[in-house]
Amino acid sequence: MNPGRLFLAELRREAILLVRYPLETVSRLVWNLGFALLIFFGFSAAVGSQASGLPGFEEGNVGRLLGLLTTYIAINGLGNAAELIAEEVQTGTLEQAALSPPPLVLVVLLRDLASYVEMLLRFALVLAIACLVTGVRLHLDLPAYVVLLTLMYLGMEGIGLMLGGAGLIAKRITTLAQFAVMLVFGLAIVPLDGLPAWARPFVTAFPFTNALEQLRAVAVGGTSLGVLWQDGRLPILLWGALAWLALGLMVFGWAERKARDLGTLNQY
Amino acid sequence: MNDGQSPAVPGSSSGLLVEGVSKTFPARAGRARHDAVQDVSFHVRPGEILGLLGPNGAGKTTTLKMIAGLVRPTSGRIFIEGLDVGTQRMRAVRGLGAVLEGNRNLHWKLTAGENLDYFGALKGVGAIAARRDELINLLGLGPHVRKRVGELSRGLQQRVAIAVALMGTPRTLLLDEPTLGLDVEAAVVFREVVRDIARAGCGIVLTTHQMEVAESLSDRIAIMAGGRLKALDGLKTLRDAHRSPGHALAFRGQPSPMHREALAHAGLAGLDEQDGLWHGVVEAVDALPPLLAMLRAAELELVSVTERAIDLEALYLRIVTRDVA
Repeated sequence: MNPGRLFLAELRREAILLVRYPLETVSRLVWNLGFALLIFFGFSAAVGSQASGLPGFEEGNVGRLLGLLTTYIAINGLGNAAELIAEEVQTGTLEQAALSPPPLVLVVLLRDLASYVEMLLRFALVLAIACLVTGVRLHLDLPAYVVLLTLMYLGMEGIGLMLGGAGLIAKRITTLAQFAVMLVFGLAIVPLDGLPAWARPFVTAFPFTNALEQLRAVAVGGTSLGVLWQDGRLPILLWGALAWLALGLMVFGWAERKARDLGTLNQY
Repeated sequence: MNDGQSPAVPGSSSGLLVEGVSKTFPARAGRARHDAVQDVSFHVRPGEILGLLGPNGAGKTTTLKMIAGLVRPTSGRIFIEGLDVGTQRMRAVRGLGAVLEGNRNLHWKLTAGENLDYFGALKGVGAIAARRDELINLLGLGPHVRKRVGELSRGLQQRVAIAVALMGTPRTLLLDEPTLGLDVEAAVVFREVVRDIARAGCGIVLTTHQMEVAESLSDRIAIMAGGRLKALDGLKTLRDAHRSPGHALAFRGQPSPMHREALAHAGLAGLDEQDGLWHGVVEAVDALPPLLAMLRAAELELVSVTERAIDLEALYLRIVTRDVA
């Protein structure tokens, strides 16, 4: 088994579907862009100029755009594994994945990462068009954006894997997934001052809020990755993301074993 | 799991070996504890086709899923080419291909060729393009390789599913209801394909409710009922073991009531006329000579004397209903 080859196969599969269904591809792009502009021009107040847990939203145009698109990626990271399990169970392809040599969790993780690569490219395109349309200027530090977004995604993927694991056993987890998305999003937009003191460090260190705060620092203030590392924010994001991912892998692995015991792995 | 560490079990290194496997599903919300499979054992040699028959709920599919590693047995062990599926799953399933849900196992938005490429990578195939082309030729998929799976007929989808299962060059192939929903022509083609795969040295376990499929393909037949293996042998041996004793007689002519009474008295049972021929059954072999003499004396023309046979359907029903009774 070669994870690199499997990752490339997943990327190729993503690319084939993007090219084969152009209307779907363009619609998704237009929807993302339209939503970004709608939020930008119309709903900034509703999103929360007072939100302190989501620092990007406080910082005007740049923050709003970054906040919106980062939230989009975070929510996808959260929901991808669960959606993948649900979709593959419906189509029956989960069974082929589960009886193939690689561990199922690796197949799910690599497919999610392939989906993330596509999303990252779409994110870059939407952000570029949005900047052109709105006149917003970002400090362009692509490596920093990629590192911060990827770490955030890995952390959210950890939670997504836990949901995906629940899906292997319980099958119907749509409401649970929606609840998790709302919980994460709620934690992010709720004013920090409104939270109990014990909860504030958790919310601040949460991969989504933490990464967003650092993205804003890069985009608005031109802060480099080196500075973020030295002042301790980047290591917190790194270890936090890895911890969530490790927890997600463990929970998914446990759920897979349990599903093989219960016989629910390929039930529809 | 300890994949790659445990040594192969001596004596079980060839084909598929299922050893005393049982599966009990624990009680869950709304469902009682269920003994799906109980103490099932069999061996499938390379190149052999085992037809696994049984009514719905007999435990056939659960058995296949345990072989594939999708369901973990409560007890017992399963070896593929000597590798324990329970403790060496990753290595063991490299020697396994399975079509458990027919055409549902495929990515319908991808073409047949793209499916083979994708699953080739998933199964860790080295030279994917060469193996893909080989299977496309073997299964006659050449004209359809660039079509999306969703556009193909069910028979072609089934062939693509088999090609996917064969991508990893398995030594054991599991087919669950492989001809379900196929038209007659597709089913005939499919049977030829399965025979070719077996001739190439692949051991095959297939479940089916279609007796003619099992009869035409299987080297041996296994019949499950109530989670247990009720019979396992070659079809001829099973027929010999379960056929009714005696011979069937057919004769032409018009026996008088007196003759019929005499024949019945001599051991000819179930005398009945069909299409101008009279048919009857005699169970005791030593009753045959006097019966034949009586027919001659009554000027009734003997047409045939045949050993009573039992077809697979009757055999299956006898074994399964005996279990229910």
